[in-house]
Amino acid sequence: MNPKRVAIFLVAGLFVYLSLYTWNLRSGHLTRLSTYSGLDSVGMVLRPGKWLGGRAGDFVERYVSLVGLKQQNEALETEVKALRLENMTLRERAEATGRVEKLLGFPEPPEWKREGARVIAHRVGPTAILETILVDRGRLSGAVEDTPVLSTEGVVGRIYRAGLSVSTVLLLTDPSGRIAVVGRDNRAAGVVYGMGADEKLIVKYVGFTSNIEQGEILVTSGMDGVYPKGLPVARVTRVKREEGTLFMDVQAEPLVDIPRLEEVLLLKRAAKPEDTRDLWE
Amino acid sequence: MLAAIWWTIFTVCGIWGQVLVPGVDFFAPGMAISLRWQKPVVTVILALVWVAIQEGAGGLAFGYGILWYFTLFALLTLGRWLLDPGSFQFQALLGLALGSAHFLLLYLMAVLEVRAFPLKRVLFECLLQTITYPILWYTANNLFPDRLKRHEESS
Repeated sequence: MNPKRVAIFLVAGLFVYLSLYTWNLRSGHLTRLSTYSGLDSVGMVLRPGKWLGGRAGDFVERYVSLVGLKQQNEALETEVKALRLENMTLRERAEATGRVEKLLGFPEPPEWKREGARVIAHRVGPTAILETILVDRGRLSGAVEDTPVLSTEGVVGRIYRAGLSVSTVLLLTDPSGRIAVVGRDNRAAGVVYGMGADEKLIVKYVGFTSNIEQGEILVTSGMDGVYPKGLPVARVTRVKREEGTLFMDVQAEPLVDIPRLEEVLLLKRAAKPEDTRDLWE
Repeated sequence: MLAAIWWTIFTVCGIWGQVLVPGVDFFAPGMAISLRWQKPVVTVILALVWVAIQEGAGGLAFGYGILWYFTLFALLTLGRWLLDPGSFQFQALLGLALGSAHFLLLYLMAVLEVRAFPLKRVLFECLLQTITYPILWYTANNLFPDRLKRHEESS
């Protein structure tokens, strides 16, 4: 082959590639195309296997793990009683708070709908450098980008890419993950930053004079416009005050055990974000 | 028909492989086999399907897959001039080159997208890619139906 022709081919190819790349960064058309084709076909392949795996797991749990079921049942009954009592007290308080908010003329917060989803995979493929999971819900069931994803323990992350029937969830541990939080007890505000898998979370911008304690639960503040207020995110593991700085050095750990996640909840807004402004006016 | 069934099974197994071993491309050996035994148009179709899967399921913006499979194509074409494409040694050498290419391309894409680059994990995955590529190629090459090989050779 003529070296000159090869060089021309390579330069032309590079030019075309860079043009496509920059055009896609602006428009996102190719990313969307690959999401609808590639991501959904991956979901199509994984779903039957996951279903079979789930069935086999259920079988094992049902017939092999019967040992200790009675003791577990008694413990659960006691827990249910305690939770019922707590629920009663909290319901009274919630109703009282609602009445006060109404008296003071507080606007109603936007409503959220919950929908369950199954985790079908964690990171997939050679380009999976982000901390992600794949769930079996997509645009067809109303999941869109930035939909908050939770488990019963707390915040898992948000939808990063939504295919038709499968979505990629960006976990809160990913270095590009940011969640606005406040301390549940002392109400110190900050922003939780992911630092990668198996790493502690960093809570930035917690004021030097703020009050925050080790072991305190951080909940979403709702200030980022993605997550509703009050969802548990992380537990503070270290608080360090250094002289000469404006902010404290705070570390936290996620409440969710990410490697063991099997089911999650998607929180879908009843109204679109831009519409919610009307609710607050 | 047999080719379509074989490549569908290969792709499905590849997807499961990529779920079980994240960070490794299980389709790459398929390209080496397809280039050797199949018509160019088959390789182009397979590459398009695999690019869509890698880009759709991965976390980066569209672009890595094209560069990755082009690099593989270039290495295979260059290698065929110099060495025997059917030898395990050549494929092991290619695995080493792919491991390095995987690191460089991922780093390039992460920088272009201003993403954090998990160095240790990527290095480990490059090592896995280097090791798994020749093994997967050997397995898939031996499982590739002779009927398809003979048919392609005769044509």
